Amino acid sequence: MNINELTQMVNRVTAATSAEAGDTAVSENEIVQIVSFMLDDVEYGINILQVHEIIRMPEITRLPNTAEYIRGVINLRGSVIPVVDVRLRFGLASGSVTDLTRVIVVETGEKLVGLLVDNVYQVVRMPGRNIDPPSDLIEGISDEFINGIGRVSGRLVVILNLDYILFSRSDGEKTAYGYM
Amino acid sequence: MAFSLGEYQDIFLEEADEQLQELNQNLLELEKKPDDIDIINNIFRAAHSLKSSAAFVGLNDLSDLAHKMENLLQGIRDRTMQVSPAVVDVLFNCFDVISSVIDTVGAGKNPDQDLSEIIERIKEISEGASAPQARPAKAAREAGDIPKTALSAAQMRQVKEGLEGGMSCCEVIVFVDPSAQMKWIKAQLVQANLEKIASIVSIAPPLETLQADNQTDVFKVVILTAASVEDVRRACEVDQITRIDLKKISLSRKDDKTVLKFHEKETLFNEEYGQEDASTALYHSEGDTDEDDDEEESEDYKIETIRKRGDKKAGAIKIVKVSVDKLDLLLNNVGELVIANSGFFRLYEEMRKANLDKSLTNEFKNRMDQMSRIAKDLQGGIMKTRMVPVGQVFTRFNRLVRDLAKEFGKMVALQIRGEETELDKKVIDAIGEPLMHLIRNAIDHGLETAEERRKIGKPDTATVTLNAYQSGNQIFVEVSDDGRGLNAGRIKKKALEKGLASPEMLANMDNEEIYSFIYHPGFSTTDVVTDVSGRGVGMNVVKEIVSELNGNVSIETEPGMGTRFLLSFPLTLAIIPAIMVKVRHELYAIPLSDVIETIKISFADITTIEGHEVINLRGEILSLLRLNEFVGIESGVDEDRKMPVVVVGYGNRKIGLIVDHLEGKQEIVIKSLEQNYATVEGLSGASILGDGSICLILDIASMINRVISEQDRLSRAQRQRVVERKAAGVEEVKEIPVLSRSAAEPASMTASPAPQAKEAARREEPVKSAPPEVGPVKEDIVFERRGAAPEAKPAPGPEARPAKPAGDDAAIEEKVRDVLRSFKDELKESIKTTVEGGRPDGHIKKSLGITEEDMERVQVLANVGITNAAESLSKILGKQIDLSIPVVELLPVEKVPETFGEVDNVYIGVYMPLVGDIKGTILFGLAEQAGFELIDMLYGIESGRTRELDEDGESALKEVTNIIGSSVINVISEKTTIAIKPAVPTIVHDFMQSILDSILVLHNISNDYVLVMDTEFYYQNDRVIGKLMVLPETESLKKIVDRLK
Repeated sequence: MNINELTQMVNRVTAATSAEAGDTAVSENEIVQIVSFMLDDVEYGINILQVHEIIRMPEITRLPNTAEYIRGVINLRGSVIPVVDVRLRFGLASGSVTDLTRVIVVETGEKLVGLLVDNVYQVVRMPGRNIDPPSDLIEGISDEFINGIGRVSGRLVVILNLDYILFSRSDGEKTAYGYM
Repeated sequence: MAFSLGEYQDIFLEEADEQLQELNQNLLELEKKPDDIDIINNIFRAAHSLKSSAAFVGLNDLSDLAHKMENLLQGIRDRTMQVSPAVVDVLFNCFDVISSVIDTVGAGKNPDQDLSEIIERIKEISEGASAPQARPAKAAREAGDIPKTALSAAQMRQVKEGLEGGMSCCEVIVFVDPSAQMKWIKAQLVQANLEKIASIVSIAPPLETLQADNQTDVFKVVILTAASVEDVRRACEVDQITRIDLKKISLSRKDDKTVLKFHEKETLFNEEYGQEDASTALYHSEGDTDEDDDEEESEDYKIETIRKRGDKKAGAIKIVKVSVDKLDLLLNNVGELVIANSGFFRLYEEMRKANLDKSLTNEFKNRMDQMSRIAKDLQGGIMKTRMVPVGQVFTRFNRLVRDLAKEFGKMVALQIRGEETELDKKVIDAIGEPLMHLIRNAIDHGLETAEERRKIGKPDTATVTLNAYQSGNQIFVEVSDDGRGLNAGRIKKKALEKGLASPEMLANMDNEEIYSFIYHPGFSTTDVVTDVSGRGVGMNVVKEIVSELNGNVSIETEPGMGTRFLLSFPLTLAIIPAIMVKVRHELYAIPLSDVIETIKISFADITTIEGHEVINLRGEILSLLRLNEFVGIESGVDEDRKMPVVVVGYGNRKIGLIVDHLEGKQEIVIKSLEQNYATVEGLSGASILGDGSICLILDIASMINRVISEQDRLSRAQRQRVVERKAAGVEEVKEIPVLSRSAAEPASMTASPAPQAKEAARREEPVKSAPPEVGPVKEDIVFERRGAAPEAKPAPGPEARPAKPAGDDAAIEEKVRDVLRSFKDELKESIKTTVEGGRPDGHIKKSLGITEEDMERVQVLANVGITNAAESLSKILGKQIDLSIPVVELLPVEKVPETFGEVDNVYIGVYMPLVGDIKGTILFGLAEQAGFELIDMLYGIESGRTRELDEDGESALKEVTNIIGSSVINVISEKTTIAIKPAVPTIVHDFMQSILDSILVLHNISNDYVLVMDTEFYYQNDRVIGKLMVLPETESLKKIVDRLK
């Protein structure tokens, strides 16, 4: 194997890795803005570029014959969008709706999805180098939801991967039939 | 790369399409009223705008063509030219060419149509027609036309034969100097010359006409010749002939029709411009000379027409084209407005509580109400904008009908009605094609020629009618003709030929079903396939497109009177009327198109068949689905109240949906759930209501499917339970003797078989292998069986106890034990496969040549037949009778008794042998007590009075069996077209085993397996009345199966 082939190979591998990291992959120095929320003392964050808007708890219409974590659908200016109860999705105990409860409307896979969270904590800024790949440090939630761990002024923020927030990786076909 | 005309392409295409439609429409009218100056003006104006817009986007050729057209029209407008058929034809041709250019551009391709030919024809026409420009209009009338070459059938034949004989055929167009005197002499000369070298097929106009009218200076001769073109030219070239054109004619076969094909014209001689092909030059110079005037005039003219148009009603509607996407966006915004508005209402409530100035709050409320009203109007208005009058589709067909009528030599008038009926834009866009096919079919196949019509006393002119109207929430579009109607006989014949149906099937079909064969792809009853119809594609396309739009097609036809195709569509696709229902606080919408009716039932009306709930709706069994269970919440109403049920249908299935409340009808807009989520079972979408809340729309089709599969599952489970129970029963029978035996001989053996078991084993064995002529053996078995029974169950029965086998030799016992053990294992295995594998009869089906589909058909037959029987029974008894779904299965002969009832119980069996082409038996079996009760009921006496079966009782039961048996037979007979007759019923009052034995003995069952159709009748209180079983002989079974195919 000559040196050229080797470089090509390295390039391919690097390309593959960065592709895997998804669209939220950022360079070392780029400042990332993260919308964060707290669930059971863990701070979770969503890249602000994926956040469409944040609204107060709207009227939710229950969607029968779907997964439990689908709270239902809401009317977002004429669009019918599903709302995922993030607690149930992460396998946590269900919480109660309070004044602080918010729906974070995010865009994932060309779909608009509402994420029902207990609160919206803050918007944090951190350089890309502060984000580490997912580790075993985080217990509880499945790693298919985790993009990385961000460090900001001594705290850890679990940065979420929203690709599988509506449907699990194993669901394959994106229909709700499986939840009957 | 796609061809594009730049940013104005879309506008141009839209406009051009409209202008073409207008042109076509107006020209059709002009054909009828050639002197109507308004129409001419309209055509002129449209042609002119087409010219300008084509030039604007750079389609210069098209613009050029439009310009020539304009010139031609100019002539007509100036009355220097006559509206002759030739002129109209050439104009229509122009429109077609333009339309094809526009289509090509629309498809993103570079238009490469050769326009020179059509331009040539225009020129030819205008030359021929406008040559005598200076003359008074009256004279121009005759002079104006170059007669279109139309050959009679005889002439066609002549041409055909000539061509086939190796001659060549051509049309020579001879132009005589307009100033020449006695032009007909020239014509005669040409004719004489041509006759020397060719045979003349036709000469137009005929010499007589030419003789009478010195104005005509062009004539055409069709000749058949072996001579060269040069010879022809020489023959024609006489004094004062200015120009000679020649068109070669060949025959082309268009499918089975012979069509004359005129080739490109070539100018053989032109005095003015020499012998070169000067036509183009000529044409250009002409074009250029009057161009300027023309422009000027049309400008003045535009103003005039606009004013004129303003006066006209139909043309006055000004239209702005908006894409549906934009409308949807607008609709969303309005929805938002409505929601925002509802916020004011809360505010108002606050204000009221806060004890503000009363007049202020009232004023606030007034304004608020007003705003809400406006918002709602706005919403409704935007919804309605999707609706388009159907007239714009209909009028397009004027042209088609005209062309087709010409082509087929039929006289056809198109009548259009209901053109103001509005349909959803999507339907409008898609409906054109199916209508076209229907109209083509009607004209080609449906309508007779004028002569034929005259013979049967119909008016010469046939009528094709397009009609549209709204009825309920459906829009109907009708295509009808007054032609010969569909020929059911021919359709049948064709269906047979194509192997789509068997003669028996056809015999049982009603006309509607037979007509529906024409939707079958590749189905055409005409022997002659024309380029228009007969390929059998059309009707299939019609059906498909209409179904895609959630519509339906039906056919009505009356031989000799005509045919009517009725297409029905839902009113709109975006906004649908729906019935709103509530389960607790959750609101659901059911599309009204799926709703058959709504009823109220009480809990007591519900019966359970095999685990699922049904009600009897006017004699029909209707499965129920509780909506609250479907959506997974508790119902909010208590069951002693009347429950509303929405009866919904999809295809030919229907179910009743039990809901908590009916909330009335509402128009809703469908929004997809897939856009941001996924398909959810049972939901076809969501809708946003006026107050901004979301209401889910139920998908009736998937709900019905779910009910069906649920029912299947339940029935299967139920059957399995029965099988298990029976299996357990068999074990029990086996164990009992063991126990009794061990009681008698305590020390000897624990699980050893007893002599009774041996008997039982013996009983099983011979029956299993019972050949048809098993008669005497069976009696033996019955005998022994009776002996065994009383020990197991103390049922009353004949006291014919056989002596028990005396001494038990140990060796024999050992043998018996072995036999029994293996038998038991076998039985267990068989039970296991029955329970687990469902159908153990697979192999036997194969050996009888019965497929799964055959079984399904038999199942359908059984369902119908037995439902019929239940109905008869319920009529006799004046009581609601429920029934289990008939079980149709192939059973081992020895299993029949135990399938049918408790083997060791006494039953009253009424059996009715079947004679005629099907042999077999229908057995109505009642448990003894149930039989007595039934007799009481039939005689209307107090229950419990009958204690034994007397003659009266027997005759009553026979009568009942006769009635219900016949209702089954009728159905079988009807569906299979096999003559079946019931014989006189016989009663056997005995153990089930004996009853069955006495029946089996009668029959030729050539396998160990028999097919039984078996069902149970209940009163409403679930008390079993009895079971009905149909048991055909093997040969007859095959016959039935064959006939059902």
